[in-house]
Amino acid sequence: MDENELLNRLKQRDPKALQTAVEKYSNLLYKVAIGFMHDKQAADDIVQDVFIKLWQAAPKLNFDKNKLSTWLYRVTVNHCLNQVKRDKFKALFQDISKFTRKTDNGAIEIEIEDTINLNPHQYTENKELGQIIENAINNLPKKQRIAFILTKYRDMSAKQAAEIMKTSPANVDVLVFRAKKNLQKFILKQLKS
Amino acid sequence: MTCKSVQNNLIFYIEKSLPDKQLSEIEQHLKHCKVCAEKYQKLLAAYQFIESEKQSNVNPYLWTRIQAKIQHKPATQKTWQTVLQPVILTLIVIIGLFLGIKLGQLYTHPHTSYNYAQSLNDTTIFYPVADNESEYLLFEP
Repeated sequence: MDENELLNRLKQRDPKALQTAVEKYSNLLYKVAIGFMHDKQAADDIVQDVFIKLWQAAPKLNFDKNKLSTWLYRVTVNHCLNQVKRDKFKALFQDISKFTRKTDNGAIEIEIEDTINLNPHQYTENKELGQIIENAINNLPKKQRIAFILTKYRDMSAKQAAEIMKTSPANVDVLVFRAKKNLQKFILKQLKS
Repeated sequence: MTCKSVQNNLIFYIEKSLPDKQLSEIEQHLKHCKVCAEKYQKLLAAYQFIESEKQSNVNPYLWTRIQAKIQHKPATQKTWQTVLQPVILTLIVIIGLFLGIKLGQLYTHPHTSYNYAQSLNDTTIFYPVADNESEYLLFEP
């Protein structure tokens, strides 16, 4: 079944068509989502939300060419970027709440945590490495990050990535080159410290 | 080859995306330079982590989860939400504006202190400067 036929059947609200789309694209979208989220559960949730969005939006979707996959990748990338932003915001408040506690009369007290108790060796080397990679990728400028994840995690060609990013393949090459340089710099700096 | 140029290209060396000549030069350098070799090992470990992330696959029960979601969430619900949300928001703004105007009108009532002060503006107070002077200074309230 090609993309056009799949889309037509989705427009007719055929659940079998959605199942086919899930089987065909879920793993491909997951590769992109894991590149942004670095967490299996979060990446699964992103992919699930993308297919639910496809189901809801299908009757209104109209493409000139075979662009269902492009639409799916774009929605995945946007969803991931929004989720990362939300997570950062949430983490900020969690960090604040770590140092505060409510007293019996409802007032908020600030607690200073004893940092001496925090032993860096409690973390496994792998987890530490994962955190460094996550920080390194999340610190990249948005376009570099998208280009790097599409080409590195999803093994896309510059042409395919360019179509999703609405830019030229040459520009994608430049973005990926810069992203790799920046990653190298960030990772080596983090590992040194 | 200098340490700086080797360290600048380590990521491309790992990916083997450099010309053969440059690859062999870096390889030779890493055999003799301990600092660069250590950095290479660290970067390689980090890069291999990305590869390991890439190997993971989506939850095999994804379709079951999606099926459950779409059965509980009719497609029209979202449409109603998207229509109603801006309408409700606009109504709230209009009601807010209306209440604001009404509250503002309360303060322009003739018995409010502001209007009383305005009415005083019409009264001119004269004070004599001296007995022999025929001119008067005008004091504005």
